[in-house]
Amino acid sequence: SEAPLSLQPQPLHELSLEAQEAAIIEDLLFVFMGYEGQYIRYAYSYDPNEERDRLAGPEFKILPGLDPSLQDLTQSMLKIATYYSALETFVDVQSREEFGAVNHALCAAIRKSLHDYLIMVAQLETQFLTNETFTLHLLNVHTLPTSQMMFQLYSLAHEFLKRNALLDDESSEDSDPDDIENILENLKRGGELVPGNMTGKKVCKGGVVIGLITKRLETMSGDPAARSLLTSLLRDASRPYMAMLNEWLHHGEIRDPHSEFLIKEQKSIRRDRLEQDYTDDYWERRYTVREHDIPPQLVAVKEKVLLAGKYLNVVRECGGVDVSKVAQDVPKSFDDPHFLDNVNNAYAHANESLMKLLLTTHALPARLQSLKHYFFLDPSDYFTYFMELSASELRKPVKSVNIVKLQSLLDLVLRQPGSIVSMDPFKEDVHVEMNEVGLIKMLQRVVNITGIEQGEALQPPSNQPIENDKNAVGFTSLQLDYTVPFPVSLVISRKTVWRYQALFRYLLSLRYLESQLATTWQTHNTGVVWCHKSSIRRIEIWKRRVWTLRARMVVFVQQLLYFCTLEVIEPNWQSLMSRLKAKDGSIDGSGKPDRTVDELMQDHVDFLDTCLKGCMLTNGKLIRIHSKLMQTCTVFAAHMNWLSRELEKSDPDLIGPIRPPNMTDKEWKRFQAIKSQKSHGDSGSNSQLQDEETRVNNLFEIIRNWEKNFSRHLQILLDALNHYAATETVVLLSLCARLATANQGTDFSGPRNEEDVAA
Amino acid sequence: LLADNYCDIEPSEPALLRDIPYTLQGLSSTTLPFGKDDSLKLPATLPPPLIGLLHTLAEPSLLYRTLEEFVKTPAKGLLGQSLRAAISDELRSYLTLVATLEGQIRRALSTIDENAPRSGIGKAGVTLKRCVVWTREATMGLRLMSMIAEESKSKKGGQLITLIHSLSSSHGDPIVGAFAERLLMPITRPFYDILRQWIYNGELSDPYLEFFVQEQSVEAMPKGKSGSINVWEDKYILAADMVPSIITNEFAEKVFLIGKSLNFIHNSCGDAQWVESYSKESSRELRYGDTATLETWVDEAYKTTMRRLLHLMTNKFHLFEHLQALKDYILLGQGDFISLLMESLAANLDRPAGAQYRHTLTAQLEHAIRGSNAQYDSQEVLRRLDARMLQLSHGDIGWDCFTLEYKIDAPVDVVVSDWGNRQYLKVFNFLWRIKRVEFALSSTWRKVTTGSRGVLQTDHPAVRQAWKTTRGFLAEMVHFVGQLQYYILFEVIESSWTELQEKLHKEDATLDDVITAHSNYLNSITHKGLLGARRRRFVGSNAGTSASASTSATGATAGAA
Repeated sequence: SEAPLSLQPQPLHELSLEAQEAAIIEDLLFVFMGYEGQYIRYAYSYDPNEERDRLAGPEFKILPGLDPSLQDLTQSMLKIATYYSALETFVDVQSREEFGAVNHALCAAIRKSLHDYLIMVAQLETQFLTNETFTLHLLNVHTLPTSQMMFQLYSLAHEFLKRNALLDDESSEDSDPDDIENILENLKRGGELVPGNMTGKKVCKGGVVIGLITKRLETMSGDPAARSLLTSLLRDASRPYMAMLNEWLHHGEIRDPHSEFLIKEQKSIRRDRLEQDYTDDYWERRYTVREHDIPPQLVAVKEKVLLAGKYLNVVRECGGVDVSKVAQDVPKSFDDPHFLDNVNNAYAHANESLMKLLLTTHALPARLQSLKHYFFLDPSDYFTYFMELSASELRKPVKSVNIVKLQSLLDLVLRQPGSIVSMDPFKEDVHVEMNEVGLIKMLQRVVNITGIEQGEALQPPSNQPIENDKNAVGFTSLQLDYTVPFPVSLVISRKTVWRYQALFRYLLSLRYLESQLATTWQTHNTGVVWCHKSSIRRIEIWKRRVWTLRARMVVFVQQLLYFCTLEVIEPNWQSLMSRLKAKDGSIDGSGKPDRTVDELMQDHVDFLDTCLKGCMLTNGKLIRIHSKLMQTCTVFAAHMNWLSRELEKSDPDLIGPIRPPNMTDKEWKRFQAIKSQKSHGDSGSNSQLQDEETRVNNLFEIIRNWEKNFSRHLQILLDALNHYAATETVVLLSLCARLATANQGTDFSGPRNEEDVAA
Repeated sequence: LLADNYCDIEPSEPALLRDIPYTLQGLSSTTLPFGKDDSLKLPATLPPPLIGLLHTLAEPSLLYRTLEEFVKTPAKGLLGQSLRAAISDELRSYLTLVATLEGQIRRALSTIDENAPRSGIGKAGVTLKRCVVWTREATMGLRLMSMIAEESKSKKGGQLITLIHSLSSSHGDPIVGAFAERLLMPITRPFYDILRQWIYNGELSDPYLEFFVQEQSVEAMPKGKSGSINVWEDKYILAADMVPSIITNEFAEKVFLIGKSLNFIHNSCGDAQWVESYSKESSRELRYGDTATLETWVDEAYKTTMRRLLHLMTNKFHLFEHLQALKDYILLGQGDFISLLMESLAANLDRPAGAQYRHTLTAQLEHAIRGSNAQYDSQEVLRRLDARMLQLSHGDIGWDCFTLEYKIDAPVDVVVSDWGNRQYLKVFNFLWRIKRVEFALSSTWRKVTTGSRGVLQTDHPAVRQAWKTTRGFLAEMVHFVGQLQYYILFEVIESSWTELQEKLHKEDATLDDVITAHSNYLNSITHKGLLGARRRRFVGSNAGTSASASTSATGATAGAA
């Protein structure tokens, strides 16, 4: 209207009806192509310089003076023009770089429809110019089907724009100017995230786009025209997505510059961190599913998709897959009937190749076997030898233990020809280390954590410094470590190695105790003090009691050891091994694998957890009782030397200078020699002769205390075991039966009433 | 006919139609003249809808003009030239389209009936609206090209390829993808030509530095201490930012190595004949598109060149023999030769450093070679062995500055570099000193032992006691030196040597692998052999102490005698 007067068209009301119709048709044709006509103008509210307005599509108004019926007909056709302009802008905006490949493909499909539409308009023009019978009415009839199509496209586009927050909802169409400012700001930044502005945050792309089209297809599938349109749109839009999916499924690679794929790769999580990774970061977080961006067609199989690529990735990193291999006839779009088959096949293939890689190339069963050698001491000959060799080193306090020396001793032992472990191909991977935190403390800490957070059962005890045991010695701190090369370390992760270490330390503590008690037995059998049959009856009775207690302790320790190794670890191990087997029963991975890698990893952790539980290492109460018992035994064994000295002092036969009648001459001489060596320093021992009686009494007091302590604790343990056998694991019952023998014939052998158990 | 009701416009539609083809080609016409700097002047008398229409038609013409301008600007590189050529090809096909359009329009205009122009236009099927529809696709292509042209101004070489390749790989629009793919083929031709020259001839024909391998000028190469340059390491470098995205980084690495090796074979190893016949035999036309075939070819070329290079190194330049010789002579592996050398030189070296003559040293060396198993070694090796004095400072005696040298010349010096030679020398000096201490100790022992049978046979308890302690210490020293030697020679050198051998005889070892293996070998020797930077002083003082101790013991013996 601001154009010069000469360009102003002749007012409508001055024209004849026919001329009006002709002018309107001519204008409509222009308007259909997105131009402003002579009589049909943009509404005042429309500003062609503003992207937001253009995206919403222009409103048109018809100059006054038109015949009312013509006006109504025209008005009804004007929507098409609105749709067309809006779609043009939509295509321009959405094919920008940052909207992602799926949007690009979608735009290309829409553009094709628009092109068809334009051709139709051109044909209508020809009709208009040549056909005698062409009227506005006919124009309307011809445009009707297209109008339907344009409407579908427009509403789809509108939905996208709403999602993108490039457009507001209808309700807030006339929002305050600040909001428009914001949106403009957004547009300037190319739809990037603007912190603090929630409306302009999301650019919908990738899976969301496909999801939207799918949803629309679902809700519109009754209308055949809309259905075929949306189906073809979906097919075109999903093509780049499928290309990415196939790349991922068949090669394990993500080529996703616009981050629209359902799998997200975090390049920062590298696999060399696996070595100190207690939380399985690599496996869990390197590849994750973008939960909000999954196309609905993939929701059901997203886990499979994730795992398939993940497995392939591992295989590829180990150089086990031919990446250049091109998968034949993969589906190109989501409506392909083989689409799900493709995912399933890829998954099966990836799983199989990873299993094969683990089981065959990287010899997982042999690895596990060797772990069992080292951590569960299944051929323990090497370990006994190692303990003997390194006893002098291990007896020192933790701080002064020479780890390098221990390591070389271990290497020496492992390479001893003739032992089973010398044949083990992985013996290079075992290392000695010292853990200054005692076993019991370590376990208790874990158990406490379990009480607080159920999900994080076994956290490493390294997060916060805990006070180290003051009197820890090499024996109690010794632990083995095992380095695992890459793909196997997925199964044997730090998490599981920690469990192995816990079990190892437990077994080690039992073995150490056993060997201490064995030394005690040796003392009892070779020492003159103990062998000599004293003339005083009370002393003989006292000796018998000591021996019995020692025997009971040995029974206790050995039964416990037997139980842990043969009744807990071994059966569970067998079942784990049987799970590793392929369908046809071969274990070397030549057959088709029965299980998936994730299941395998879970099996492995389950196996370790069952073992820990069976060995009573997961229950705070049992650990406490158990540690008390162990302590009792240790104290008993440790005080044996002192007891011998006390006994020597109390036995009048031995104090005197005369040889007792029931002792051989040789024994006496030997005894005298030791005695003279020992009493080099103290000479005043004779002065205490008189309180022999008190000494004997004292000895009886001590042994009674020990007996009581041991029996009581054992009884408590038995009761607790009975209780937990009923509530948690039945396995404990057999241990109960075994341990009961150690308490037979004492005051504590009978069953106790319930309130004692509770206490 | 409804369409007959219309008001005339000025200029009329046929007139506009007649001018449109010129406009589309970027030429001025009477109704639609081009203004200054890329603007089109539309007649002011037209109604707004037609103005809008002409606006749309103006877009391709303006784009065409800028692109034509771009094509005419001189390119700064081969790839830039090929890009311009490709674009001008595209422009030509655009012009063909315009020409067809013009033919249509002419035909239509010739049949036009002056009385009923509207229906005539309609019958001929050419209207302005149709022109818009026809030019739509071409406009998209022009837009893309102008975008590429704009972006290409700041890029060159590989980056240019990356730019276009990213359009074809990461853009989801199939039209854009296909267009970029079409452009890639002609654009990459110069790149592949350079690549071909490089992997089949080992020559870099890259006048505008567009390739991802770049030659360093002689001045820019870092020089070694003696002013020599390392041809293998420094002559060519790989520019990571010039690697186009159509090839992977490993591939680029491989290509780099192939060309470097060929170049090396040609220039440093003097085997130009092989390179020529090789390039004649295996040279192939490389093209964009078939990545898999390209990869197999490059793999093949890689294997061939690597094999040839290693073959040359082993058979023509006796690399492994040299390494063995270095170990035998410099690292004292050839024991009989070393002891003979030391024995014959001992008297000479006791004198001050200034009084050492090169000819005596050489003569003694010759003597040692003749007298030991070293004489059976090949002449190739023996002639490189030389004995000389290091730079002497005041008060040095012969022992301090004597050194054995093994001369390595090109092209083996890429493996045994200047740095490597220095390491060898360092180890040799260290071992030589130990050896000398051992030598002194053993001669002392001899004197003490013979002395105890003769002069020192005395009953005086004090003397006896003193001699006992002395001999005890002597034994300890002998033990110490023996252990030290055992450790260095056996635990360090031998084990490192085994490792080196293992790496060298791997199936697909490349020269680079050999170089790394060798420098690792030297590193592990110097490091484990207590010659790392931090420990050297300690060792030096240690060896010094025992040496002086042994000389004083000798002195004492002499005194007692």
